Amino acid sequence: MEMKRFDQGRRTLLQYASWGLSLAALGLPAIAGALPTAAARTPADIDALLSSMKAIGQEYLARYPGENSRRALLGLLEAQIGPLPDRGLQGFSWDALKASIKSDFEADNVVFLNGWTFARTEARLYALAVV
Amino acid sequence: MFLDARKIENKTDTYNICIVGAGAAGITVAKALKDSSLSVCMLESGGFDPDPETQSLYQGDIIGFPYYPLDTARLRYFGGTTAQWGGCCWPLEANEFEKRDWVPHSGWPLSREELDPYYIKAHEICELGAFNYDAQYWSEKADHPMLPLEAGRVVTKIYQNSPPTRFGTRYREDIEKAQNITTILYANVTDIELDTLNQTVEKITVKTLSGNSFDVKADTFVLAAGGLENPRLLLLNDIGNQNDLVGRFFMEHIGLPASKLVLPRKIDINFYIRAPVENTEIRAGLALRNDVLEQERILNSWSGFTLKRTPNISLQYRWRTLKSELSKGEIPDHLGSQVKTILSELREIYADKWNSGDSDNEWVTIPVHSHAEQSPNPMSRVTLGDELDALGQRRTKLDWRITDLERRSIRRTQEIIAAEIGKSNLGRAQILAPEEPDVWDDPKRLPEGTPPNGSWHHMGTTRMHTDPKLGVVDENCRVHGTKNLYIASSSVFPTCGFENPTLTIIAMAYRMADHIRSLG
Repeated sequence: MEMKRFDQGRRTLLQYASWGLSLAALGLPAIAGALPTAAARTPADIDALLSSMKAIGQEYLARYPGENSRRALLGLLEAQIGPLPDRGLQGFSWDALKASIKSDFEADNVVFLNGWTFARTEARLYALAVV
Repeated sequence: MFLDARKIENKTDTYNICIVGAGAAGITVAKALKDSSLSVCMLESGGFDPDPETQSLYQGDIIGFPYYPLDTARLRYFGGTTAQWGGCCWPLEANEFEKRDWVPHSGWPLSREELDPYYIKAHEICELGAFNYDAQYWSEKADHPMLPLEAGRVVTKIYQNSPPTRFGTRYREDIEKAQNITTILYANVTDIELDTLNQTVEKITVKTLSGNSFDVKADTFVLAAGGLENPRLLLLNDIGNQNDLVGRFFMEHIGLPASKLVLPRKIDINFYIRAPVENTEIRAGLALRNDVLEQERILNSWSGFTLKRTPNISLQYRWRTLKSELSKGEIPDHLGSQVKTILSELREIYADKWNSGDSDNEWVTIPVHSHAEQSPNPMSRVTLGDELDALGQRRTKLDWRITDLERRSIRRTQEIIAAEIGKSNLGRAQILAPEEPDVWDDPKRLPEGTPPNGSWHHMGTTRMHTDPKLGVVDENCRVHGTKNLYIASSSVFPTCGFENPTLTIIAMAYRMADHIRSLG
């Protein structure tokens, strides 16, 4: 039951991300490299973004197998950005997410996945999409 | 006055100064001595136009890191390689003259401050704008902003673009009319003869591909034949090599596709493509702050965006420049290249909507090319091959080496740029520069694009140092152990920075001319 609630919240979070809220903070459309302007955006574009997110997440987990579990990723992410929502996005702090990403870049806490450079926080968030 | 060496038989003329090579360095020294009381002879292997037979004298072997065929890496006729240079000009930075404890063999015996007056002269001869390399200044002048990066480890650095000045055509008349300068074309130097004490060059022997030969005597000789040919001439004549330094420390500027930036299309990046400003053209790129280089213990480099120029801006500038020159009633000496560029940009306008693909996309992908400093390495060197050229001289053999310091520096620089782009919330970067140093040696493992290569800059092979055990020439560019043999070239650079060398070659040539005048 608890996991189901989390899945709902996670899906909403990811969808919000891919729909363009705080996209620059997440960097995802940048690496997907093909986000049309809002007027031209279609559901297929969102699918493409989610696919990119999952691909990055898989690459991250392959590189860091020790984090390849929900429990591990949640623990690490929540330690950085506070509680992740288990229902909707209420209580979730985008500012904390952005600050954590920025802090990662400042501290060189970055990962290189297929050459792409990500803040550790965002890479872990993408990994959540596949565990 | 121009003479044709092929018509000179068995005679010896005597001058105050003999300059070997009529490229950027040689022509600059000659121009600086124009109208002085000194008689100057400038010897040039080629004529006024490219000639395959003369050019073939530059052929040689490559045994180290892959490099361009040596006869395609420079030009052997009046004006030298300025006939095909791109025109990128910038001075070395002050810290690049200093000893850096993480860069072996670094440090010049002179400071940037000492060279500044000569850089200003070099700006004039290269037809550049104000001697100012402050990116903020030019960004404001160009009315294009710098990238909105948060204060951090990355800064914007700019270069100025010469038209580019083709020295062979631009200054041919100046040289021809100078009463005290005799330029002898088709004149190949083969022998440099020292006196019995092995200290003073008494004469040099010139041979032509037609078979005739003659000698030139002078009080002072200047080798200005480039970073590959200068060491070859010294090695062929066993001069200046008492400490086995001639030809060593060969450096190039390493160029490679280093990363891709993905930035929002709405960001104005025109300053990073090419911005026409006043009477010059500016191009900006990204580099690391000097204290970051020190902290990371890495070499300097510059990362330029390799998007096509925004055609309308560049085209306007080029058209305006051309029109202005034509309106003076003279055909500019670089008319051909100007027209070619304009036509090429017109083609771009038809071929592309603009910089990069689909303008409905909110993001633009920007290829980034790294232009990187190489550290001085005695194992990276020019020697003599076994094969002989048409004049019976041993050809050049190049063994270019790239160390882990260069590989690590290029990769680390891209990592830091990527992190700063992310930190500033501008976008993301994909790094192409290999993470593992040994990938450089295996082209199959390299990422897309061409493998790393040089930039046609040949430096360091007759390096400058006050101590004869550590350098081929002294602080005045006089070959150690000789009294009257000087070298004007990037071959004297102890370190090379990341900046294209031409402006520094010319500044150093002006400085040498001052020194020669001071000898009386």
